[in-house]
Amino acid sequence: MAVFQLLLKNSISLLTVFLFGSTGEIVTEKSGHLNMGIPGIIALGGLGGVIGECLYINNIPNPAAPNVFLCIFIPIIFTILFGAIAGLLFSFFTVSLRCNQNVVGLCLTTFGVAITTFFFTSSKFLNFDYLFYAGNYFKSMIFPGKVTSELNFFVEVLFSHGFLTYFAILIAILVGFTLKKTNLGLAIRSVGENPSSADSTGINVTKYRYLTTMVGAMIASLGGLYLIMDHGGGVDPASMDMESYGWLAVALVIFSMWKPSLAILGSFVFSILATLPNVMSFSGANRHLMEMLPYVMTIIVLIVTSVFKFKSNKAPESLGLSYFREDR
Amino acid sequence: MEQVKKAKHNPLFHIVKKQDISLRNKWIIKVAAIGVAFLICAFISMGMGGTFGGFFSKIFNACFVNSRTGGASATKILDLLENTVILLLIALALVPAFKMKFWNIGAEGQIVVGILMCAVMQKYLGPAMNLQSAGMRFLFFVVTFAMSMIAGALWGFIPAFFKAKFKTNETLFTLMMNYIAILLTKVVIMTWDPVKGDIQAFDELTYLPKIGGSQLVLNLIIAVVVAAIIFVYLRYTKHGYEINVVGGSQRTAKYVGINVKKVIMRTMIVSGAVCGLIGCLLLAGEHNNLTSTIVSGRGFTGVMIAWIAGLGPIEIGLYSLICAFITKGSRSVNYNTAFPNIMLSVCFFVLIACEFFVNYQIRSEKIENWMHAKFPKLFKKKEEAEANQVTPQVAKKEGK
Repeated sequence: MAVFQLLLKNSISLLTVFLFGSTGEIVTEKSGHLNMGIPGIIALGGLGGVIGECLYINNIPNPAAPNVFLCIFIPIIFTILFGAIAGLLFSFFTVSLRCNQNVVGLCLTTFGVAITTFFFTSSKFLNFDYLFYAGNYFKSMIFPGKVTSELNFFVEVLFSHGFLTYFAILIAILVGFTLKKTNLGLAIRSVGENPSSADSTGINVTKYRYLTTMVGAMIASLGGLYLIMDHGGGVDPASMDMESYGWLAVALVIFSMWKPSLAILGSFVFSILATLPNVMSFSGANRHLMEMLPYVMTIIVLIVTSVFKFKSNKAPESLGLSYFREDR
Repeated sequence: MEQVKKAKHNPLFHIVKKQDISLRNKWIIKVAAIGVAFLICAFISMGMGGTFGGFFSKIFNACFVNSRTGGASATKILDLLENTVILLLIALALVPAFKMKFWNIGAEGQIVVGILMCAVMQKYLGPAMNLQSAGMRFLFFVVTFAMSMIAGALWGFIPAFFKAKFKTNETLFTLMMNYIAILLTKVVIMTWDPVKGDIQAFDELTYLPKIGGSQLVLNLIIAVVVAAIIFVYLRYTKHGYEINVVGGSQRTAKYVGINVKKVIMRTMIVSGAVCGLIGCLLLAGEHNNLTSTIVSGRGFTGVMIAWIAGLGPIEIGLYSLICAFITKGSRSVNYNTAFPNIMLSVCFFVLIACEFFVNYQIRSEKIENWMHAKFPKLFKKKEEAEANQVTPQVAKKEGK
């Protein structure tokens, strides 16, 4: 029972990373942009958060007792800023320079992951010593105090997480609502389905694509912040495998059929698979076999969704294509 | 009123597709982009606490200069060449798939599987054969290479099968196959050596023989031969032609009677097989001990090179050389393992951006008009030339 509880608890904790990543990617893909740079953006978001936190916590007299508000909002602002810059870079290359989206995405991933690894592995630039103090605040913002086994099973599984987990779910629902029910969502979807007819109705395709890519990148970058500050507790940021989580988040978009509400379920399934090897305390070869699970699952999902084609699980019509007015 | 205002508003810049660009101008843009990429890299290394000139001298020294004598170093140059050719080979292996518009991001995984198969052969087949005799040793290598190619081909075939049958998204599929391949290698390593977790070495004789004191020479020769074969395959065979047609338009291909599904699967088998072969070269010729990080992202670098080079063989060669140069050089600039990747991705960004200037042109009517008004002399010659060009055509039309 204890193992089962731990599994569920850790899965819900890890779910946040996938959910932020895939919600961000859904926003982007709905406007017709296939952003393969999500792993890089998640990594850059994590880097931004850590830089912000280091700037704050290393410069106050008593790192053990930071101002709760500043200690949480400075990194969030930095993360969103880094995410926005990464999104801007991606959309500048794909919208304005009309480069191939796959290539720019891969390049952004290489860049983001490399620069993040660089800063996390060299002790010359940043001092991570006090980061875990802030990590505690991330973990216990909403429900302060110790959440122990005195509480019952469901309360611990569902309500022992940091505020970002609930924020991710909130954002996913909000994004789903916006895309489906509002005029803004309609405009975004029309840009993704058929940009030239959207253009002819007076929708500014360039503006919408910039907007969605940047907003998507901002949302995704929060996943990196969460992974390092909350899931990892601010201890040893270099050990986080942000790249593979990022790719799984991209794959989740297909699993969730471009619906953020389904992405919540999908993230949960994927995070169960990803936490299994840790919780079950496998070691050696068996552990690596277990680590394959999320990837195998992704492949199965890809195949199943392509074999059974429903009307609702189609990708946006012009996904991955750059729009150039003169091409018509 | 508002509509009138909007109609009057002209954007300052607009983007025009270039009709055609001369080969010379294209190369000027590309070389300029490479120069800009190097400059940006130098600035980044200055930010990390180096000097501007130091960056270039360090890279140059790391790639060409023997640190003890100060002269040219044969080992370093050979190493650079070998790295170049491996990158070139990876990119070339991807070209058939990319020509077909099949996004094979899985070169990494296909190479890893090739490495794994090569290791299996070295561990089990090597000791079973009498490798002391030259003939048997040759046979061993033939079998090993063949098996690695089969493994790579299988890894490429699986996503291609589903792509051909059900149009499964191949980008993510091949990407996931990468991770599975790497984890599979880890599983094998852990089963063979549960304590240390890495295989130090196999039998000496199962490695590629040394020519002139270095295994890299043979590696280089094989790689060059394979590269030539791929080039011929794409350019001068029926298969190569079919790949081109399928890449151009699947409908056209169907109409001409090409079996599109078969072409997709066959091409990916070829692509994967070459990747498997590269894996074999990497293990038996370059690294000589099995780890899960032998490829270390070179599969992705190959993807970038192939695309940025526009699938052209000469560009692929040039960019491979530059990438090998930067990777090897930047290791000596900063010892952090992630540093070469930062440099590489910065270069790629610049090179991707340069594609825009090859294909498009930024024009600004306002600035052009202003220039015309201010410096009419500058445009006189051009206008005259254009006028001369136009007249014969007009005359022809009128004659008709």
